[in-house]
Amino acid sequence: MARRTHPKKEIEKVLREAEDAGLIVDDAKGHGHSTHVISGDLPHPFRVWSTPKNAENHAKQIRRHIRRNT
Amino acid sequence: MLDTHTFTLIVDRAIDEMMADDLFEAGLDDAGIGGVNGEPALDVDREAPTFLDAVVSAVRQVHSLGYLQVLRVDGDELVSQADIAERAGKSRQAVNHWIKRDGGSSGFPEPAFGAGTRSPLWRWGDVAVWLGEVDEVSERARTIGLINATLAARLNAHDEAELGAMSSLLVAS
Repeated sequence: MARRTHPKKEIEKVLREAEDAGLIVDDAKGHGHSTHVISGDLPHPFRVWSTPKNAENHAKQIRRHIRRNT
Repeated sequence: MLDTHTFTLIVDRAIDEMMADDLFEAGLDDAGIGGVNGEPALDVDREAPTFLDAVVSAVRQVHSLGYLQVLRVDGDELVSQADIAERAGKSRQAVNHWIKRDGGSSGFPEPAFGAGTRSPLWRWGDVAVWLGEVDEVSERARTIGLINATLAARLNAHDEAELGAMSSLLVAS
C-alpha cells in the first residue's frame, strides 16, 4: 500500500531520495506530530515532522540521516 | 539575523513516537529525531546568538521531559556543497572547482559520506581547516569538550549541590 505524500514538497522530495537509497518510508501510526517513519536496517528510525519549524532544515536533517545510514 | 547552529545530542534511550511528540512540544520542532552510529540522537539546527546558547537551550528542553538524559553533544557538522559555498562566501561553481580539480591538486578534503553520489556530505571541521578557519573550529571543539565534561559530571553527581561542590574543590587554587 502506498504511503501518504508529505504536505511540504521539499520534504516529500527527500523522502523519495530515502526510498531510492533503499530505506523504508512508512506512515506514522499515531495522530501526533510525525507523519512518516524512515526505517530499514536501522536501530533508530527517523521520525519526520508534519510541521517542522523550518522545512528546508528538516529536509537537510533527513538527507544527513540517509547519508549516515546507507 | 541569528546564526543557525548545527549539532547532535546523543540521548540515553530509544525514542518512540510518543516521546518524539513530547520533544516536539518541548520546542524541539527544529530537530530530526533518529540515530547516529547506532545510538539514539537528535540532530538539531537551531537559531541562537551563540553555539553555546543553542546547545544549552536544546539540552534543557530534552531534560524538561524528566525521563530522557543527554549523554553528550556530537559537533560533527555535515555540510553539502551548497552549504560550503554559503559558509565560505563563494559561488557554488567556485566550490565545485575546488572539489573537482584534477589529481586532487587543491587538496580539498574527501567527503565523509556519499562519495561518488550526487549529493555527498563533508565534515565542516575538515573543510574549515582547509579554508584556514582554524580558530573557529578549535573554539567550537573547546566548547563541546566543556559541555560534554559537564554533562558527564551531571550524570555521576547525586544533585546540583554535589556537582557545584566538586567543581569548587577541584578548581580552587
